[in-house]
Amino acid sequence: MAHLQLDSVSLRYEGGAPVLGNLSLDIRADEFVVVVGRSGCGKTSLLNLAAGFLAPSSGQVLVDGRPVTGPGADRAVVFQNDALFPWLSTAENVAFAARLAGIAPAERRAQADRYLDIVGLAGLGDRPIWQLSGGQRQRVGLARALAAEPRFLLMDEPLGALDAMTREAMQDLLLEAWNRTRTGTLLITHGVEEALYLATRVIVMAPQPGRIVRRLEVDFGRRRLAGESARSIKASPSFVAAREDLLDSIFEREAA
Amino acid sequence: MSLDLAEAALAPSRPAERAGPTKAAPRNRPVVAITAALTIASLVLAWAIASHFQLVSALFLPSPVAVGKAFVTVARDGFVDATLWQHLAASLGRVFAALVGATLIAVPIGFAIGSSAVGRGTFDPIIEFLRPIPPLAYLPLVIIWFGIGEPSKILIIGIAMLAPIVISTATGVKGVDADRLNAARSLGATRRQLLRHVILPGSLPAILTGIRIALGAGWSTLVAAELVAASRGLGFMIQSAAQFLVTDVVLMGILVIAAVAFALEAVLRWIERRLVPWAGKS
Ligand SMILES: Nc1ncnc2c1ncn2[C@@H]1O[C@H](COP(=O)(O)OP(=O)(O)OP(=O)(O)O)[C@@H](O)[C@H]1O
Ligand SMILES: [Mg+2]
Repeated sequence: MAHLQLDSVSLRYEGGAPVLGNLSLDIRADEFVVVVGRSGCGKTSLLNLAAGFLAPSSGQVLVDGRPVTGPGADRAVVFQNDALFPWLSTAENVAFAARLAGIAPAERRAQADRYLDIVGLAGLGDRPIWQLSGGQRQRVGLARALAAEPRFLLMDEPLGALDAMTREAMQDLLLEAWNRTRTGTLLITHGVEEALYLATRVIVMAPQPGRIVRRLEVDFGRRRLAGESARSIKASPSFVAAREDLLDSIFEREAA
Repeated sequence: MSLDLAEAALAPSRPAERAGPTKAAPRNRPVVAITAALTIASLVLAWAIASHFQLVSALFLPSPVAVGKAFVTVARDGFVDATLWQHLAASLGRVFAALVGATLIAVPIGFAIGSSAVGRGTFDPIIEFLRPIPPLAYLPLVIIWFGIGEPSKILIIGIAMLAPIVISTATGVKGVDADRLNAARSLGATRRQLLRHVILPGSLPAILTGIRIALGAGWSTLVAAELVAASRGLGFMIQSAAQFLVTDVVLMGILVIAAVAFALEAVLRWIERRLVPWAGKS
């Protein structure tokens, strides 16, 4: 079973203070790991290590026990700023992995339309990227990563630019996509409720150096998948308690 | 110089303007166009007045009408054994031959400088050496080495075009968004695929800008290039006219060069808009 491992990794950018200190994290297929923590605590750096964009200063990043030497098609990334290709149409952006794999245009188009439909952008395939709104672009970025059918999905605040309503719809979409594929997922967010709602495990990070100060197993997402409504979950006493608990551990560590 | 004018002239053909910070620009366009037209009109008026009242001798400053007449005569009957169109065709041919050659050489060099330390170390000194040398300085050397034929003229223009294209291409390559490169790599792109699918399209706007600047540099070198035993060309026509003190043809030649450069600039901007409509938008 797919297994992504960060084993006692430390990271310091050239000449700077350590950004991550001796951090360990495991993500398995079947898991939806959500990382929260205040701005600048090293969340993006952590994701960049997992993606292979950065090499740790010490420690190791492993996939199925083998060291990661760089980015690869097994770990698709959704970026904090969309990082789409403006010279390609929306559909060609979504099917970029297929284009790299040499798949024929017609088939690429069918794939793109399928995934655009999943993220609620059906019919926008022919639009140039620069004529999409920020929220639409983020969803194209998500569709592009999903279409690559990776073994791990790494997402850096993928819902950051969305309005509240679209955001909730996209959360459900993420849950369903995860439930269908059981792709091991790492998601970074600033939203505590979002973290609880999506995660099978919530990770709280604290800064200087970035480290994990809290791990919390939750099952609200599974309750949602079992058919309970989002409102009833978010209003339930256990959710409220978990939220307060999580906020406490974010702020407590911040004050320290 | 002509950049803003070209922009003003081409404003209406802009594809669907979207909301955003660029929105303010179109509102200024008519103002720019009107002011530009006024400037040109007053310059021509001052010129007409100066020559009409003989403030300056006609030998030094022929009237606008005389220049217009020179245009018609040279277009119809020719000057120094060729019509205006033949002169123009000769010059355009040289400039375009130089542009094609310079682009084919400069773009790969720009990629090498922009993407690798070795490439940078290899080519940077050459480009930095060539860049500041005025064409008239290397002109004699080119003649000694390559003779006085057509290739020498093209070479002189081409050398002037090299540096702008190399430098813009290198800047464009270096400026390719790191997240886009990472995105492609995490979707399985190999090094070649990165080049083909991300770096090349990503630096295309900069390459086109370089070509546009190079074209300007090429035109400015034209007269120097046509000093070399030419028998046709706008630069040659101007020089011959100057030797016989046919000032109206000199002025007419200058205006034709300006007009052609302006038109080419407009064409290139149109190409940019078609080819890289996203440039500056994300
Ligand atoms: N390329 C870099 N070079 C040097 N320092 C960096 C670099 N990237 C990030 N840092 C520093 O590392 C720390 C962690 O940055 P990181 O981007 O991982 O934070 P983050 O948790 O993702 O923040 P945010 O929530 O605002 O996105 C910050 O203090 C930042 O200044
Ligand atoms: Mg970040």
